[in-house]
Amino acid sequence: MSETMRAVVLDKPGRVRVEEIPRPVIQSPTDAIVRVTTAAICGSDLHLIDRKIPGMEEGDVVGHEFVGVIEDIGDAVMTMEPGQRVVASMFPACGHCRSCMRHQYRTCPSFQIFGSGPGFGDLLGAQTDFVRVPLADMTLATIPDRMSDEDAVFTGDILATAYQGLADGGVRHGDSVAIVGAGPVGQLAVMCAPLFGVDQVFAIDLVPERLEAAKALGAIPVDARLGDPSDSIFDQTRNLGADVVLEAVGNEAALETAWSVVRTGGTVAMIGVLYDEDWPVSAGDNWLRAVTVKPIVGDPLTHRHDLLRLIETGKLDPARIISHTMSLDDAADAYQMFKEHRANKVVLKTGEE
Amino acid sequence: MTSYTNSDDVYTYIGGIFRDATADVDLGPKLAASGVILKLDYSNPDAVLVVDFPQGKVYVGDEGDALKPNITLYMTTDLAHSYWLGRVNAASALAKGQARAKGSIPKILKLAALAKPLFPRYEASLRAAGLDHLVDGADAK
Repeated sequence: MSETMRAVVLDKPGRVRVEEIPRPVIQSPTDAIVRVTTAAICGSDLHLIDRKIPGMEEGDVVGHEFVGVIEDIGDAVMTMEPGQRVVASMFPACGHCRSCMRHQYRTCPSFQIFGSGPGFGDLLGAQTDFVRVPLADMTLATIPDRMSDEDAVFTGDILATAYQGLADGGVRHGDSVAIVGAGPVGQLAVMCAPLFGVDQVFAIDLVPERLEAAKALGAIPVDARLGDPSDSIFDQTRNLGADVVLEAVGNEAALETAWSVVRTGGTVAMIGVLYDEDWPVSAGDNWLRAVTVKPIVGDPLTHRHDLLRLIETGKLDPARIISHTMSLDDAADAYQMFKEHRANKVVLKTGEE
Repeated sequence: MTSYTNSDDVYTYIGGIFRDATADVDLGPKLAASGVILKLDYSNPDAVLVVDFPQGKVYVGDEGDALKPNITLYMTTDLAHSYWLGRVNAASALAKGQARAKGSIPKILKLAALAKPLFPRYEASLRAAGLDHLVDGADAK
């Protein structure tokens, strides 16, 4: 067996490359080693390769959305077995601390995000042939036999994030929802919105192809190149604004748009990756408008079983947003296409099954 | 009900109260200090006012097109008229969708508070012009 494996690593800022690195080994009795079959590129990976998240350096392995087959387990892994096909949460959690008992896995002391650098626990990424998965009993979930890798991989982060934006945003039946950013996570939020009984869902973006994709999923497209999105949203919401806004980009312009379209007393759920951005309004302005703010790191551990069930029963079809399926060897091209909006959602196949 | 039937009257009376405000010895400097360039986009009848508080200037129609407002308010002319008669809760009008605002809400509410002493002057200007029906027939909003 080879001592090394392929991995997608940071190259110069804005780029990745594929190189050989040592294969991971069990480090803790609660670890599993997963042979990755399918890994997806997430919008937050672009933040990493652009060095928006400090601490990531050339040679660091990226990737946190993946499906694979368990190759090996530590002695303390109780519920998982080699040979099982699994999807991983983008971050591990212990499952028994105070935070986990409250389903606040983001604040579990064991919180780390795969492939996101020292700011997030320095856990190696999963756009690789093999990945070490800490706390495997919690981190991994088995996949129903008839479900494709391509569907299941979404439950590890992006679909859970979109779903949680709506859930934690407190969406109620009859609400108007505006999604700032019609990229993959925004499209999945559009896809999930009917589950919450929304009246109308708006998708705001600058990229025509993304607006078309969101429209095909049921959104009312709002092209921000053609005018102030708030004019369109207010015109279509009886001059009230959106009840819930999902900021699904992760930059200051998107935050500004989010606050411009939310109604007085509404909610802004921030599902885009933010690091050091300023608030678009003063605290006083926000207080006067009574806007509830929900910063969200998607929580696959809470939602993945429900999401797997919704996929299994045909209520959700996340794989439909995949535009490109490429070899892990072609990751550099895949990232470039994704970055330039020439690809909607890319999954990388290792060639392993 | 519709309070005004043409934009010229809007410019004369609502524009007039803004001209009074910016020229007011006490109020003018406070408004100027706000740094606000306020655009009022009224409908039914359509009318546009741009008030440059720092410069103490009021522009009507397309005269203010070159300015870059930092606050824009959209509402019916009727609502604006009722506001100046002291019959509209500005915060409530925004929350209910009667008016739409772009810009800093604290500044908008601060301006609204500063405007309160002008309400009697607005009413007086209408009565002086023989437009009592606009005062006596206006509804509270």
